[in-house]
Amino acid sequence: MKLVIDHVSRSYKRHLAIDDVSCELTPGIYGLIGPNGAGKTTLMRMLADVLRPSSGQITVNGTSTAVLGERYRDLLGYLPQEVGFYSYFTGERFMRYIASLKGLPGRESEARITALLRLVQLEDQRHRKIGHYSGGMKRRLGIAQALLNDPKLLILDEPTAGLDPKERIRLRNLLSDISGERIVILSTHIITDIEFIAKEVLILKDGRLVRQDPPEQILHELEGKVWSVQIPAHRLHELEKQYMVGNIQRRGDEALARIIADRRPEGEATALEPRLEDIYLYYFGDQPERDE
Amino acid sequence: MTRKTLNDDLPDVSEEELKRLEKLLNNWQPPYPASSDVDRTIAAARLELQLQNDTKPAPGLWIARLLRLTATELSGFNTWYWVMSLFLYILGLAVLLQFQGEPRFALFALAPVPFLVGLSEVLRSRDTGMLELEMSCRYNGASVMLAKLCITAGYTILLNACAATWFASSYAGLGLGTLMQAWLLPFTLMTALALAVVMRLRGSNAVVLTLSIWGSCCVLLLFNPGIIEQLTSLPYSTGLLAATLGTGLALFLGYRLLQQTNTGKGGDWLEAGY
Repeated sequence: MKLVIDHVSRSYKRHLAIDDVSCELTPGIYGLIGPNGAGKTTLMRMLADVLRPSSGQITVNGTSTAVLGERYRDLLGYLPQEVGFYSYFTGERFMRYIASLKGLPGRESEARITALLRLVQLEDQRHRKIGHYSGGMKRRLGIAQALLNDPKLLILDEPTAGLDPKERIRLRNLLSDISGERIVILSTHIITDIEFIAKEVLILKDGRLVRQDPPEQILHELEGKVWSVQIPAHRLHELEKQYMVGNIQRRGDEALARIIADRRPEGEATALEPRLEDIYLYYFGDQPERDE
Repeated sequence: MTRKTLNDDLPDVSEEELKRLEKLLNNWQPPYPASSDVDRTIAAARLELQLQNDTKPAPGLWIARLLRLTATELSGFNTWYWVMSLFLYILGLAVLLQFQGEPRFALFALAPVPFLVGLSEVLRSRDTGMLELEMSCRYNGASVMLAKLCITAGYTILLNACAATWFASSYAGLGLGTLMQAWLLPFTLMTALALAVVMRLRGSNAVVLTLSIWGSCCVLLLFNPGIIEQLTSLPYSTGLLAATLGTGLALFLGYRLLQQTNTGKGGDWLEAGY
């Protein structure tokens, strides 16, 4: 399966949210990263057929999704950034409802619902009303519904938001297991979510796709640009003016700062191995959210 | 291939070598791909078939699909809606018959109420943010909204038709046609107004606004019995024409609402912060 985003733009009145984005996706996991307002959710919505592009097109194996319509949606599993659940539904009733909307036959869906609720560890909560679920449980239920139709294209908009570290690791492993012959697009602020599982990273900035490359390649380009600098704490402000500064560790009067610089900075600097979260700093000049 | 040709092409091949080659070829088995490769090929072929299968459902099947979706949505309605709207409708009829005593006005005043109350159910998915998820499913957001509108309108028509039939059998001199006319006009006009309002407001706000407008109209009418008499005893042709216009307007606005919900034109509601 080949999903092509072909010169896609989307504007809201005068605001251009997505600006001429083009890329080609084949089975595997893609991490979509970018700061707030970069256009991640708009792009995800267009991929989920919830929004139509203002110009350009999205094609699957050469046919436009606008032409495919429900044939395209049959391939889709989508988890929006915020799912508004009906609080009076139980987890099981919600899954049945979505299964009906996806056109799954009753018998097939019953078995699948049970298997998925077990997978996201909600089987014992299936008869409980969603109104009583925690944020993490709702997110897990959202992930389960996205997998109901065994989708060939899985679009997850910040799936790890609200999940604790253990759940986040489980989700990462799950995505890694199921990615096989499907395209998984995962948007996140938390770089560690995609660091080890993404086949490619898509970097979106101001509505434009600035990079689409394997993480190793991007990291390779950052080699020799990430430094650890030890300086007196009172000079931190100076350092921040000169360089892109990431993590800062204070040790009494001294501070240890992780910085991005094309050349070895002055003073006591040690070269560090780049991490994917340095990309965030490099491209956006800002720190990503950290894995809590 | 004849011996002659072979000899011509391969003059150095002996009879024995040829036999060995023949034996070798007879025993040769083409290498089979790994089962994972076979599975992958089948999956790719299935996907391609799925993508190429562009068969539009026949009109009968389209209606069957809508009915199936309506049944799904029926299960999604909050039980409280059925109970509360039925309770309000019966209570309203009882109160109006007790204090005003005119069955035609009771029908007139209560005709749009179950639909107006039901709008909160129709628009619940849009208001709660569930519609975004529904729009990504096979039955998209517009189909879901259409099914919900059908349920609410169907339920309202059923209640009004039952009440009209009951009045026709209980009150001498009141024909079923007159009673039907009494509820049809306010139902269609208020439905059209409500659909126009919900395109701009959240469901709960739209329900409050349209119920307030309709309640105020009914209170005004209660103080003007002459107008009630005129409205409830319009000639059939006039009543039918007005109801047809109201139905046309409601259908047009319903279509606009569905368009707004659909991906093609809309998605604007996603950014509108309803």
